[in-house]
Amino acid sequence: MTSDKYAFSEEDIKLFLDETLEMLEVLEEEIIKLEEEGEDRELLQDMFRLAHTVKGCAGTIGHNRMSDLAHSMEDVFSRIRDGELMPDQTLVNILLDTLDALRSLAVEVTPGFQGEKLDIESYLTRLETAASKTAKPSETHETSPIYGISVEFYEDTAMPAVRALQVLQVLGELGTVVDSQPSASQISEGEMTGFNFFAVLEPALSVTLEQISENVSDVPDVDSVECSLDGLDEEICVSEGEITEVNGIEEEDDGSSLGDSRRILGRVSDHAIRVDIDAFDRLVRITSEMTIEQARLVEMQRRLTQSDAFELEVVQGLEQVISQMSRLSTELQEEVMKARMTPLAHLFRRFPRMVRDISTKLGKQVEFIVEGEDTELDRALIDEVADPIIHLLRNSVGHGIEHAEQRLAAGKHETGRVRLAAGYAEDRVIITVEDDGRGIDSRRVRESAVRKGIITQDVAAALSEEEAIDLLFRPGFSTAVEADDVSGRGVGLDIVRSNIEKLGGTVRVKTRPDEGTTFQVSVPLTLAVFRALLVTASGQRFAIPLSGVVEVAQVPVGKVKSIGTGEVIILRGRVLPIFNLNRFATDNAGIERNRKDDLIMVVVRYEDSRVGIIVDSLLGEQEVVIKSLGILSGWVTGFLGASVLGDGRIALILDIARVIEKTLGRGRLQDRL
Amino acid sequence: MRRVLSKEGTVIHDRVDYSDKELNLLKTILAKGMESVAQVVSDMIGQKINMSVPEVSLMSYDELARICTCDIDEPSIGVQVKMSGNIEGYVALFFPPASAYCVIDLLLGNERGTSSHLTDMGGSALCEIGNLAGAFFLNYLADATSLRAMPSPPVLNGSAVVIQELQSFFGGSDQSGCNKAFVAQTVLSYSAESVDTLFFILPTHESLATILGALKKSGKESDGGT
Amino acid sequence: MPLALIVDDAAFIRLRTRKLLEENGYEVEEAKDGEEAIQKYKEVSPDVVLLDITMPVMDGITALKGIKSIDPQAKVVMCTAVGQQSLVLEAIKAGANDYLLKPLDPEKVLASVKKLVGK
Repeated sequence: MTSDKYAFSEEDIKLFLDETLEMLEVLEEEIIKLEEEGEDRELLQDMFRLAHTVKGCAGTIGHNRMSDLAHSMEDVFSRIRDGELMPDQTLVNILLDTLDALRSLAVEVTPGFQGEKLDIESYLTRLETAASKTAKPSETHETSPIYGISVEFYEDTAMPAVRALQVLQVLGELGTVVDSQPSASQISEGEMTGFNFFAVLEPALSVTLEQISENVSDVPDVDSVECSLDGLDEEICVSEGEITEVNGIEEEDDGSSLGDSRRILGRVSDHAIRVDIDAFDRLVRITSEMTIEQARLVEMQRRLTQSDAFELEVVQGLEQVISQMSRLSTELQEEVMKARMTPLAHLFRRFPRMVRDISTKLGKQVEFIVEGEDTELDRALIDEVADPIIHLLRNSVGHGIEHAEQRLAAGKHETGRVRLAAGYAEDRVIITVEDDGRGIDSRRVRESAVRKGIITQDVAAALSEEEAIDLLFRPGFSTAVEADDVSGRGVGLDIVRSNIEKLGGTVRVKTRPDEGTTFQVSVPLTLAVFRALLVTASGQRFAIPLSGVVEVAQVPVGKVKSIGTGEVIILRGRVLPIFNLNRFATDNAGIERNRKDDLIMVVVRYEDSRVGIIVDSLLGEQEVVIKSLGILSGWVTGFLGASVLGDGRIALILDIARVIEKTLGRGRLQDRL
Repeated sequence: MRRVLSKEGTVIHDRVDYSDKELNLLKTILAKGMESVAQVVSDMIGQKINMSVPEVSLMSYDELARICTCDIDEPSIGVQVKMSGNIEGYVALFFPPASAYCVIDLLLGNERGTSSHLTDMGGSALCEIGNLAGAFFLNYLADATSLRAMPSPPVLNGSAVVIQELQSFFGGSDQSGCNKAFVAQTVLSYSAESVDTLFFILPTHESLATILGALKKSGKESDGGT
Repeated sequence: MPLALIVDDAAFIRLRTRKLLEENGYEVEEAKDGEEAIQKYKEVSPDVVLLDITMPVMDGITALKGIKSIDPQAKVVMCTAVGQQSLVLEAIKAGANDYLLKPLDPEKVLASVKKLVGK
């Protein structure tokens, strides 16, 4: 731990620096997010993984102190994740300090580093002390056992809901009922059609399965009680990072990386949007008008079926209704799109700190200006443009802006200026990242591209200035690692461009030597393209919008339980009603219980409800363009539309809200008459 | 009683408000409701009960009155239960005195022939039958149609008083202005005894429309005739 | 001998239930509405209460709450007709121990009462 040797090439070390600094950057944002938004399993999982990777990178180049410190940090994350530690302000401060220390440690590997080597002992001690102080009491979720309790009532029980309520009361005395089927509120409303009841109990200390079984059996009309150490299906949960390990998955070769999947799944948690109250009122009005028109349509249909003769009046009425309906649906579509619009301020407010941190670290003086942060953009797009903008800002501060002395020498103000601006241009939003730095020398870009074998000497010579600068966005250019500024400038730009282009956007660059560089990102206001998880069932392809996907899990068939007329699976203490996607393709909705291999389940969420969708296989995730089902849309419920895939085949896009509604449907059973 | 029924209880179709299909549908549901009531009365007195095929008809109050009060030496004893909620109207049971005493003896566990006049306890026993009849009929209807109504406490009276009350209720609240009631009637007879009970369900015309609407909505229309 | 309090506005029900319980070794007290039930509960502290839900003067749910406020350990069985599930749910939430459906099945009455008194 005392002597660290970095026996690696400069190239390796540069790569190490780029990677670790970037990871630490992300980690920093996540630590702040943890403080602001509280514990989130997915977030913590991601933080844990980042710390783990930093540890690994440091270890690889033999930077033992850095590796040790990252290891301690990783420990703390895993303890927070497991509910043993509370991420209070003190702990977050220490984590941020540790993060800064890791950055300093990383920089130590720079060839010719002259500074004092950081002593990590004090950081390690602080982490340990904080960890012992903030240890949580034993009311942690993940460590206590969870029991699954399945109760059957006699079939002649007059009011099963009342008995279920009594069972709930009994269980309430023995611990906390985490979830149940039917749910407590359904029971309370008397909505119980069958004679089965299932609950997941987090038992109080020293409560045994026998005790539970005995007390529940005491409730009148209870035919049988089955208690099991159930709901502990942690091991079958596939975390996002391991998504490729699920049987049958193929990476769709569309450039989407695992990183994307991680990020997208990671942010599923904050998919709520704020809707302006006026906008909401308008939505309500449109919806009610549509309902009226719909009723008229039904009336027309009735009259048409009754009258044998062709009635002009009815046809005219229909025409009227149809034109009203199409006006309303256009209006509705616009309103819904508007409701998704979010000011860029949500995103932009993260940047001042980031720019300050980078510039401070690099010893540069930078004035950061943000303009047009009230420009609104589709919520989904905001998430997508975040990374590219971060990239561009880092480039501007890191490579565009010169150090003070260079600036003074060039006759500029010693403080550099980086400007981030957003604004509308017709139906697009333009985001500009501008610096008054050294600019990009097209001659050196050409030379570099030729040297890297991206283009030939002749082609390079024939390129216009603009075309030459555009080489920065070429794949391959970015990986060219050189000590000169020009190539450094190119790091990751090809990825920035391809990400933006996936959104139907463009990236342009303008540069003038010694005057500065301007990157201009243009994206459409809304997204008709979105990311979806492609799955198969009964040989058909389906696309599940990723915005509604919570996780993907592999579940043994034995975990499926029948409740009433439906089926459920318990996943980490939560009763998940399941929906067999094969149901759309065949009449058989039940799960084949004799199958040997595990079920693949995609857990989706809409508002507070979650449902597990059983699929045959996962094909990976992909951007899909939504196409209306047109005339069919009235006939096929459960789908938002269809998408034509790259190979020309069609995938139906699931309407998660409807699928959940279908699965949880509580139609009355009227079989007596 | 059965004699009376066959003479007077003719089915009258002089209103065309209901199609045959609708009438069938109503008959089915009212009959099934009556069956559930017969079952509970049978449970209660611990005797098997036979139920005649329910007749559903529109009859004038005069006719109704004749069926319940005339042609017998003593007026019947009536128990009425008012229904209120999604469904309005009455469930009414009429016991000829001899039958009433017999039922009371059965319910109180007395030897047959003990009762010869109506005591408070006997009345309470008959009321309990009315109570359960109302509750079970409405429960059946709620299961079949999702319509909710509550039975009010049963009232015991001479049949003439009951009929009068029914008439004033329908006259006052039935917006159809029709002076005829939609009556579902059946005779409950207890196998071991020669005991008959006339059992009526008299929903308002509006309630019938509500029931029909609910049945159509729940898609039960097609098997209404079965 | 355990003491049962039968609360019902129908004299007939009280009589039948009294007979049943007395034949099976219980002492019986009666009340004909909720108010009387609370009064009687205070006077005789019964081991178990059979409580009708629909009654004049004071209904069974209100009476149940009154009894529970006097004695949180009171054992109460609600008696109800079909179709009153929401009221029964309310009663269970208010602390009722069990419910019985009318017409009362003698075996079920005895089983329920025995279970509550036996404890």
